[in-house]
Amino acid sequence: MASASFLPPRRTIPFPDRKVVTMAEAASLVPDGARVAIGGFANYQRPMAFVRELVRQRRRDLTVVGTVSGIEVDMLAGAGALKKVETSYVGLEKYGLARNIRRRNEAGTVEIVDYPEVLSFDRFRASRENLTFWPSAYLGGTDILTHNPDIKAFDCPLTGRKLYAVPPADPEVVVIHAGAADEAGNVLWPSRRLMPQELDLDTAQSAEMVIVTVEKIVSNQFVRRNPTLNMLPAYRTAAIVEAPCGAHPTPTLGRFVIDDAHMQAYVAASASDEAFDAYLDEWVRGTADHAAYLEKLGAAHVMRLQEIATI
Amino acid sequence: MSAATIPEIITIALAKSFADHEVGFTGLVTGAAAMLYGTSIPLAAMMFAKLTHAPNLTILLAGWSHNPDLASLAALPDQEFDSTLLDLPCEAQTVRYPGQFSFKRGHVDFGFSSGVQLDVTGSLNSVVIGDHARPKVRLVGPILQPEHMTIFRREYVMLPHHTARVLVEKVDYVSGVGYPGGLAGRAALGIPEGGPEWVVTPECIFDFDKEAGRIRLRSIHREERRGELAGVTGFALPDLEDAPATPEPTAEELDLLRRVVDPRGLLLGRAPEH
Amino acid sequence: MSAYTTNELMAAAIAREIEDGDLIFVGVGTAGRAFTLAVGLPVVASRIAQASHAPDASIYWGNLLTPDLSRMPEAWLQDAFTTWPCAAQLQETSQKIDMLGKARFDISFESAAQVDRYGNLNITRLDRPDGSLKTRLVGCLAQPEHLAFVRKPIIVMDLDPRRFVPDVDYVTSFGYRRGGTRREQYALPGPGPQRVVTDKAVFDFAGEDNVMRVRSLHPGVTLDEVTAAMGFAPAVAPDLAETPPPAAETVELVRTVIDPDKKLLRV
Repeated sequence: MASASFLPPRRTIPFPDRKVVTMAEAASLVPDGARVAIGGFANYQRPMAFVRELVRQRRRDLTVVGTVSGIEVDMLAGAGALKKVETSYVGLEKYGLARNIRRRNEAGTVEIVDYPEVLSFDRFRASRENLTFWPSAYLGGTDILTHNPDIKAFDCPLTGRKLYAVPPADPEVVVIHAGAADEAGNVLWPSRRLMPQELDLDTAQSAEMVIVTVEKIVSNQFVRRNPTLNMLPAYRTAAIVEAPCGAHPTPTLGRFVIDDAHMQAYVAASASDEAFDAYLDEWVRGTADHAAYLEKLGAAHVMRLQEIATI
Repeated sequence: MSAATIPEIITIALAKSFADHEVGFTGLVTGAAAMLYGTSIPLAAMMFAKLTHAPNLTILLAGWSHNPDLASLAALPDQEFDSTLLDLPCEAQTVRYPGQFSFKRGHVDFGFSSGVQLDVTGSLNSVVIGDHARPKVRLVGPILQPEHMTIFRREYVMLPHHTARVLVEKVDYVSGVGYPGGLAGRAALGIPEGGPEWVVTPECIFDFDKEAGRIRLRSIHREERRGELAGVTGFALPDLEDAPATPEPTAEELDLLRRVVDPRGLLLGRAPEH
Repeated sequence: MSAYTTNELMAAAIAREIEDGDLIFVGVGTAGRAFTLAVGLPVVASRIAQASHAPDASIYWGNLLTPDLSRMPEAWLQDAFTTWPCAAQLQETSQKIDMLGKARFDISFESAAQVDRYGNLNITRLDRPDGSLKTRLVGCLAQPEHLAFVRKPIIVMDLDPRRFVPDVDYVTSFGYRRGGTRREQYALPGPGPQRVVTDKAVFDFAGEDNVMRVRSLHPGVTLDEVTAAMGFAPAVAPDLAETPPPAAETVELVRTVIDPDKKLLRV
């Protein structure tokens, strides 16, 4: 069967003219109804400054495709920006359940499509390899199949074994938070890193529109001194935004720890729609931009969240 | 300034065909003539393009060193994983698969490949001469050619020797698919994109009537060779009389190429009298 | 202080299931009792086993292979994991998840909102009697993969009739049977859940139907107390025994070496 195109189109959404843009410009690249992947893992290194800007811009009907989801999806749900999430987990780990999304799912206003965790990673591998599906052998008997008509059974043409075709992640836009990038759009990763940072690489390879918020914009010379850390070269990025402490209240490896007090306040606020609305009014809609948000947090508070990985 | 050499003419012609923001993939080919056509001319062309109209072009040297600082080299390495390349200043290194880019998502805009036979449909052979089971000559294998000719968005076939044994009516084995049956024929094979854009030889540049699936002469490097071309080509050249000359580089272009891109003649050799 | 706590008894019971050379997958827990069940008990059990009969059992935790458990980080922050001494730190996501998919893990630990007599687990949703959604839970995580690929998954839960139910509302992870459908027909590489270690008893899955079966009762617990804490009647092993209490040295090891600050067995 011949299709019109087998390589994904380079730009389904027009790229900005310049690589370095403001947070507002970057968030405006995500249209209502977009299918988005948000970097990080669980409640680690989420591009929260970007998520808050989506809320400020009153984005609607987003579908988030994820692996292990946390506060980034819960905030979008609580702000009424989320239509659907496809993931293996939504929760706040040691802070408990993600109450905004839970409430809205139980009320029928947010759809959750469940995938097992490993397959949720594989879906991004499928997109990276431009596959139309990822084969899985082990879904039989689960209700994951019962509730997901997008997964289709088929017989392996080589072995005859019953397999399931799992759809690829295929986000239209990927947003991640990283340490450093240059103005051309080369993004550096720490050499010793964990799942959240590593997973960002896989996520970034699954789409063409890749937006990166960074702690700091560095020179191209800095990049050329560290070529082995450049895991996302300039031709793979559409927009770069400088956002120091841009993952707050989640941590950024080597830079900031999780803001425990703020997480607690978030959890408390997410107990009801009203309380969460007040939280958004205070911390998101009530701050003009990320700089104003940092100012509201206060320099002393932010400094206390700093981490010194090595000396 | 001395007149442009054939490698210089080809370099400038290639450079002008690259667009800004594109990603160009080149291997590191060994052997003097093969290296010139497979590696050195493509590198010089991409560097020239970056200095002129395509500053955001990405050079993927050997498929893994991003935008290397070739001017810092005393000699071009002759192995893809020479330790010289490891230490060569660059913007990024791809050391694992999958790496920072995805072949199958079409992240490579154009590549350069070669073979021992190329035919009128643009199909390329680097596997066998003669019968596959009992070949007259067994060659290296398809290597990355099937990918170059399909999931790279376009391909430049670089042939260091222009002879009737290389440019044939039909290849003995298709390791890289051209346009059999034209674009419709390619689509029917499940390959709606990619394919050879140009075929570059020391004599001329070919391109394709992609609808018809037939190679055609695009330009000839040296007017005095026009009369000889049919004799060294293994297929008919109906457009031989009408083909224009490959554009001669301007003095400014030659100056930039010789003085900045390749000051020590590492890539293209030193032009006479230069 | 009593001779041993229920947690210490459970840890010792889990430790007995670990064999020398096993590769043990430990997840990342949440908080409270859930942390103790998912992380605390597994880590303490692994160290008890390493100190006695299984010196070459290894733990894979986070993305660290064999982290130095004698030097636990002060706080489990990202940076603590990057600098925690270990045998290897797997980096690529695919490397990690393929270890699971290639059935490289011997032991994993599971807990759930619901488990049924056939070892089906539900961590996704609770339904009303009419099948409509009542309570949304976390999702699936990698639990379907654990039950499909791990050689010896151990379910670690407290007995509770709301959790041990005749039929789970949603099969997140397939045990042995649901309705007329049996595990064999899916040709899964792993054998299915092997043990259920609870606060009152230890179970296995036995018989042709692989139904949950009481193997041993914790000291002082009666069979009636166990069945009263379950929403279905389990099978009972003919040689029903008492769960061996942890040896005094084991309790001493837990309290002085493995978990002196009660970071693992918190509640």
